[in-house]
Amino acid sequence: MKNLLTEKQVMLISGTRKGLGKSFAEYYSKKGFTVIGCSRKPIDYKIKNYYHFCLDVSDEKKVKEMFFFIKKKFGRLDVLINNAGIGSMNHSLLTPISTVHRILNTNLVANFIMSTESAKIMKKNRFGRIVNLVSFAVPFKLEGEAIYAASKAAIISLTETLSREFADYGITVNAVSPPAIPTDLIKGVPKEKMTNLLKRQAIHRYGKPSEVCYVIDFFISKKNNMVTGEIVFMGGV
Amino acid sequence: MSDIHETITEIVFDAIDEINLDLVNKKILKSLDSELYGHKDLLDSFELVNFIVLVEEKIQERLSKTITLTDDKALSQDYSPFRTVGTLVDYIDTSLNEKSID
Repeated sequence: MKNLLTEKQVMLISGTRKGLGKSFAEYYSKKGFTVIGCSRKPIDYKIKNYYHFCLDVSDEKKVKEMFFFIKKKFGRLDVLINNAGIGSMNHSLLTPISTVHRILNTNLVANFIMSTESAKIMKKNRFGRIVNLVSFAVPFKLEGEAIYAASKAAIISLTETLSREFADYGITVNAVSPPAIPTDLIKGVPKEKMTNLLKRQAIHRYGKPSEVCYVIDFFISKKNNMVTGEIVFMGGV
Repeated sequence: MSDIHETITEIVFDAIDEINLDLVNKKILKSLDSELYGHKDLLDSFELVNFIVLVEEKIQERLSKTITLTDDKALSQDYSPFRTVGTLVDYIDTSLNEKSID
């Protein structure tokens, strides 16, 4: 079925206000994608071919309105990067339940809503690429990150199951775990802990956003029809 | 038949037209008595998912209302609202009505 309003590939990225999400928006806009981004707070930058929505990704109604816009304006969605995520460094005995709900809503529930709404548009064109962001907090079993790691473990499971549910629609679902990268997400982590963490990676240095983009490029390539349900842990975890 | 019930019926019939284009060797009839699933000549589970998503999309387009047809309420009914075209139309009508009361 070909009923596309635009020839350009359309990509949706969650959590584009800063960090990796912003880097992805810049990189893929330069590569010729029309990029739609979202974040709770407004952005302070301008990118060509970029549209921004201010919303909470776990707010189903707002998210559905955004997808309605995508469908009407572009008639297609080729790629979703589920990047939005929050953490909270704290011992589990000191973690309030409100924080647990907040992390699960943003990291897991929102991932599910974004993925299913994306798939509804993608399946019409029999093509789609969904890339989830997971974390080394899962295999490293990082103390102080119990709920964050649990949410990312759930996304690994979601990646694997959705890859099977969406395969018949021509949609692949994969996940990448970036190496340690100095972003806001780890700014509260003590330096000594980060040094120890880097030692646990096979490659003992911080990664760069561009290196994560190489992995995403592989997952979202139009030629890459046979790789789905895969999780790539970068840095040699 | 109320205006909204008639509109919902049109929307569901419209979705049947579209889903029929994808069906091989079977067709869903545009009648309120038509069964939707249950034996091999009707929709299989994959086709039923596609059909429900299509109906939800058409409701959003025509009525500017978002609706989730497979919520807990639908799944806990003694008789599935997806049995026939008619039961589906009635279920959508009730759901939209309850939503407007909310």
